[in-house]
Amino acid sequence: MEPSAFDEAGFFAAVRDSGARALLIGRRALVLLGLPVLTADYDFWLGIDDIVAFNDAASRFDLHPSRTPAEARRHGRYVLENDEHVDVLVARSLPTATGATIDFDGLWTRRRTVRVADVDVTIPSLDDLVLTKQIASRPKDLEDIRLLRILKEQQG
Amino acid sequence: MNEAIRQQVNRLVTPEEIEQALHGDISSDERDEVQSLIRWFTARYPTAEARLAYVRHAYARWLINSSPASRRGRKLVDSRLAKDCENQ
Repeated sequence: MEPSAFDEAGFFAAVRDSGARALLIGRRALVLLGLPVLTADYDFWLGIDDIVAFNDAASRFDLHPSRTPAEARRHGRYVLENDEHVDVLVARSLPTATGATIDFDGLWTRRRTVRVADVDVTIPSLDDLVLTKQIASRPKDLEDIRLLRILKEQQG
Repeated sequence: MNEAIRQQVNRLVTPEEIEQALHGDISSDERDEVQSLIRWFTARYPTAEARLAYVRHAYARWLINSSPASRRGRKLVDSRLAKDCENQ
């Protein structure tokens, strides 16, 4: 079985060009940083006012939203799908399982980029990635937290 | 993936477990293993696009080797499987 012919770099370029404040989170962000983890999905945290711009960019890749922008804002999340599956958070802030609050604007302010082909992909800082792993913490998120801690140590 | 395993994989962890992941000791064995994996991964796939492509191929291989029930689960659960998939 071959992976689908999804133009990953093209998708990231379209997201960048859309002007949407879109942070790649989840395990694909860890992969960009050099951690060998597997995942099926893309996870983004999106500025709440940027849903339409993001969806327009995604539509060029036949990715279709599961909710209207108004519904997505109400629910705080939605999905874009075709052969690929993109989970999108659109909340201004989210609670962690330990009772802290993570706000999107703070993550965006502290963002970093990783070059993919000729595209700068925007991801949270290492510390903020650890925070995002505490939103809906499952056992694999705990493992990812430990991986990120070791990566942070390694990077000094 | 049977239902019991699925529930275990997708269960919400406790705040105590999160605290342990955030602040618990990391053994030298675990640290060495992870650092070795990072060295292997970034040396073999030195660019971000190569790493992303590897993950897409590794996931496709995992789908071949997994049961139909697992495939419905979509998400891979153990990062350490990444290198195992590479070695298959």
